[in-house]
Amino acid sequence: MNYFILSQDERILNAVEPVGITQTIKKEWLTVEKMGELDAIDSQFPILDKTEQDYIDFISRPIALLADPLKQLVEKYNPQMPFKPLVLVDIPKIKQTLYWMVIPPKVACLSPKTEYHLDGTVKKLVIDEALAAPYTFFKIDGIKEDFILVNIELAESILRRSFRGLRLVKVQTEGRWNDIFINL
Amino acid sequence: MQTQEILQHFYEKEVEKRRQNHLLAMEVYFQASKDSLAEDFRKAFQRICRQLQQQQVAQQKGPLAHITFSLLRTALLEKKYIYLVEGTDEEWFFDIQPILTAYDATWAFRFFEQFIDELTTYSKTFAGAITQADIESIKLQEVTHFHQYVISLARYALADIIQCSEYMSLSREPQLEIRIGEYLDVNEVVYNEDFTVRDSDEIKAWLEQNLDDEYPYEVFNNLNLSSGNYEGIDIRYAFFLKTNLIQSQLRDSLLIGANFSESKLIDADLSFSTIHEANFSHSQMQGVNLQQVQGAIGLLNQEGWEMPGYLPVLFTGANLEGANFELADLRGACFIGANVKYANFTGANLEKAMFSKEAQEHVSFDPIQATSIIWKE
Repeated sequence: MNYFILSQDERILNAVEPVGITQTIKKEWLTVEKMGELDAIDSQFPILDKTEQDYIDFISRPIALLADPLKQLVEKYNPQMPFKPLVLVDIPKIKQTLYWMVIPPKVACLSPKTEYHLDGTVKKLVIDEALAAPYTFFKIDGIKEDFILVNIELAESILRRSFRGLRLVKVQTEGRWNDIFINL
Repeated sequence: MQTQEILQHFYEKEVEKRRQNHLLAMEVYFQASKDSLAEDFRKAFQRICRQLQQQQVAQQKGPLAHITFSLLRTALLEKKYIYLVEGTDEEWFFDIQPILTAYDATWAFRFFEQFIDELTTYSKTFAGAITQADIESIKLQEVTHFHQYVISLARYALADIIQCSEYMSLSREPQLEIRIGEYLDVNEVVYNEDFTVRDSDEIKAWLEQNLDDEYPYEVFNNLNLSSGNYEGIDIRYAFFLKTNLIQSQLRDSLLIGANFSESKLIDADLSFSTIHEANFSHSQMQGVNLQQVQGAIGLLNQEGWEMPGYLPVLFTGANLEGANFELADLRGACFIGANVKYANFTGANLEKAMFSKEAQEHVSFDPIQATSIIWKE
């Protein structure tokens, strides 16, 4: 299959920006082992004040957040995927919007063709299609970066609907699909 | 104006209007170029079958029951108009080891690209309120209209080339469907074959029940369905190749895209039916009644594009001796190589219909018909 990095679309103006998440939530809590810690926190966060707020469907920073409709779609493909709710509060407008933190599986799916910079960050990401095959929504085991990968099935499903504020960028793969598409 | 309102305004005022312009231009191009496009599709299909066949052998894959072409929006975002082609067994979507290749459909999206370029240029007059992200969103939605032309062309081209040796050398189940659509979502049958042995009487009884939504796209090849009463039936895009429908009653029926190649329709009554895009090539149709049928090519509504315009009704090489075409609308129809002796075309609309020159000796066309027909050697 083809795989795509899911990220926030930086071209959107006025995307909603949560405040204070880094102080409250530790990145290592977004793992299967430590996600229990998320139940203990107050998961309501204010947002940076703006004249217009665009509640996009996917927020990248400081942690990945999925709007409810997107979360429901991902859940259809992954009924066992852990999600934790997080509410963004617009205090002046007295408005609350539900988002979801997600704990995707970490999959060892790197192709040996992956290239690295000297500091260990990824220079060129290459996914082994056979190793990634069973997964639709996952993170990569073995790299420093926190990429969320989506397979083509889920990617196409996302693109058929009118989600806003997310980007899907294809990553290189090694396997049958790469062999077919390489010449096109 | 708030950004959302600007977007709404842009969509209603600019996108819809420009979409119409580009789709109408696409329609003109398509009708004019369909035969050369069909030829290109043929070559592509032969290549696709060869590649699937190689994989079938290499992976020891069993017989195919489905060949599915899927539009890929992920490729579209990279400006690649590629359809994934999957060969699957009876399990279809649940076949975990499909054989794969790809089809390049760039030809269908040239007008789409121009449409998007125009929107992008025009969006700049909105002082930054409409971003590239918004244009991309519009692109993903609008693509479906142009994608309809790939379906239309495939149906048109496959009817002839399905017998090619590359397709024949694929190991296939007795029932096979070729479909085109969205990836793991809605798709349409463009070709269907069924070689399982079936009981003509049972099928005839089923058809005579005139059920709703049961018959379109189905296969009724090689059957004896003669003398049946199928009045008012909906058999759009169904297949009746080599089938016997002699003296059958098909008056006032929906026969759009139905394929009757090499069938027998002698003395059948198809009067008042809608027959756009129907294929009667090489059929025996002596004495058939086609009075007042609707079968013109092109858009139903010249002002508004709703779907690709109809392709020609085909009577190529058919035996139409003594057929009745009184007041039929057969604009753009193809009668090349057809036997039209004693056929009655009184009052029929034959604008841009194609006839072999010999037809003039056997039929008296009125002056308007004679000048609006396209005569071929």
